[in-house]
Amino acid sequence: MQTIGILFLFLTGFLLIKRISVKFTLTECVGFAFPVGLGLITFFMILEDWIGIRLTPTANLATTILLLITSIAISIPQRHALLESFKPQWDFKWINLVWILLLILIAYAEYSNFVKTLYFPTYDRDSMAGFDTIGYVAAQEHTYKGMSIFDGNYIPQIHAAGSYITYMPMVQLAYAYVYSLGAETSKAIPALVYLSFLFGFYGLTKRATCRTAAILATFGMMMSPEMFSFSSLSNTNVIHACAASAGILYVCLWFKNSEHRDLLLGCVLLALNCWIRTEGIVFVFAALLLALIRECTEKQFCQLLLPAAAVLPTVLFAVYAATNGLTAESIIITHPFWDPVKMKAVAGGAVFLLCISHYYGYTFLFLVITALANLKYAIKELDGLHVLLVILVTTVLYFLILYHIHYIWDSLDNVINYSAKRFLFCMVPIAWFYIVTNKMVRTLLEKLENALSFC
Amino acid sequence: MKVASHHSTIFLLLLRGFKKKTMSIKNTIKQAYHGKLLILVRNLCAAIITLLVLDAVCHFNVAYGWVWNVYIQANLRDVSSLPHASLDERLTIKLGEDYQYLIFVRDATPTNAVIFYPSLADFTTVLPGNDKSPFSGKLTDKLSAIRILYPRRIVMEDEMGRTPWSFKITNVAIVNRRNIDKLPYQVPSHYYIGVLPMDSTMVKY
Repeated sequence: MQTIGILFLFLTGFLLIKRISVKFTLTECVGFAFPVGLGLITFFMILEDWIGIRLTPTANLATTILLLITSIAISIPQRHALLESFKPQWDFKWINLVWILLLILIAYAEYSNFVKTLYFPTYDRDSMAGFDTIGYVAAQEHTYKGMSIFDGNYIPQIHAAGSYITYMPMVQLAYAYVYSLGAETSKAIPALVYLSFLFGFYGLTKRATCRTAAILATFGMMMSPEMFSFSSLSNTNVIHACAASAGILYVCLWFKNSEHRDLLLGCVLLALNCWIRTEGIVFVFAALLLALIRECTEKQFCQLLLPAAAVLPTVLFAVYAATNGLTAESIIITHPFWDPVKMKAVAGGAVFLLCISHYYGYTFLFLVITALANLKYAIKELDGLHVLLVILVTTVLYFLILYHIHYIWDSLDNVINYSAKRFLFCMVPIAWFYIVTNKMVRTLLEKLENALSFC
Repeated sequence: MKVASHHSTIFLLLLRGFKKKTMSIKNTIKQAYHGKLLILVRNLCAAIITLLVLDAVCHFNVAYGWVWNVYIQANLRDVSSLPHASLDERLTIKLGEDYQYLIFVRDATPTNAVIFYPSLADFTTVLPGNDKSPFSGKLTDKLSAIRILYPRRIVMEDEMGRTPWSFKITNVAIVNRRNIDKLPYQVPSHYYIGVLPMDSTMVKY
């Protein structure tokens, strides 16, 4: 049942991406089909729960089948173009040994990671004391809002500051979905999302540079030590990083190439990012900023609506939570204030995290080096500045949010050392995208690919 | 005679042309072969340089080295050493004695049990004559215990008297002989770890 459910979600996501545009490549569609399908089913699960439909295995499977039928129905008008897009294009003129070598290394590393993820059930503390247990209990009790672990009589501190009751529900419901379909563990979700992302990231990077550069970026991104090891755990950070980075990178592609399909898919993925974690909203701000810059020159302000719509899942869940009593003591300081000690701690924490190569490897070092090397093109042609702007804006906004939090449930040090460290996973794919797509490196790698080409 | 010599001239010219053509094809093949060989050599060099750079990075940066030499290989080793291990065995590899204790509690209590659950201090208490507690305290969080013991209900020390469930306790989980005082009857002195019912008539040591 679990396999059928996952397969149907994959097909639903695949058809929806192809519905946005048949021009999306196979790697992009394969890469983002499962996360999009998963986002959609969990969205409908929360709506069903809201109106009182029990989240039974039958209801979940029926919703999946309905979603698949709907996606098939909306794909029928463009069936010829859709079938045409599947025609294989056997063009391997570009192939070279470096590409093959990196592909083998990626496949080997991911095989090991994938097998480990599926082999070990959830054992990390954050997932057992949160996401996985919430998903498991939701599947057993066929409800989200009415779960026993959301009951103050059973868990007295459920409405305290920082409680898991306020977490965005996508990952928990995804776990509930697989548990309800008979899974022994929920690990299929993180394993498949990360595997998908490797395809998706390669596919989208390939659109902005040559294939050798794209696979180099995929390899570099994947080898980021902390992110790679976290990808086998059940917590939300890597899943969030996949959706957030892919979403904002599609908006970056739209910013550069003006292809409307990129904006649409980017906003779908940004909505998914908001559906996974609340702080994902910083990426929507970055997307809005890019859209605003773009629209100021073109005077088409209606395009701003799409990135703005990506916050709808956050709004919807806020209303759902408020109407069902899933609230907790607020931790946000809403008024402006100046606390130099706190600011120093937050800024120091940010610099420490970005500089330490144990967590993200050489990602940020290469980012700085390539940004400096590309300075000539950045000044002359504004090359890659939008990607750097995204990294800067989202990082600053996130740490500003940390500054505006009242630490009554945990210490600032803990939040920087654990939560912020994991939030920066989102920057790793964006950084590697910039590293290989800025004009200086792109030209070099394109020359290398041409020199190594057999045809 | 004249006609014959004319024909032989044409034949010689044709032969020369054919030879020239064959030579040029041979040259083209030769050039192409050398070109392909050159590209293959270039590719091999690039692949070797890539491998050397990656190896150097793994040596130079501890974290990258850990990913390749420890994380990736340890994963495969772990999985291949016990390919058919049960879910409980796999979790025991990761969570140790704490998980084994929870399996014991799960198997020794009915599904409708309301269990008084030990705290971190209880799990990490060191008994006289011992160097350390057999537990690490990894599973002291209420939600972690719920994940393993569900649908049994869990009551923590700080909830006693505060929640309706704290008045319905059916079993007390005992680690390092802690919480024996929660039971309304005497417990033998050799009883250190286990789970006992509140109802003394149901006790099985």
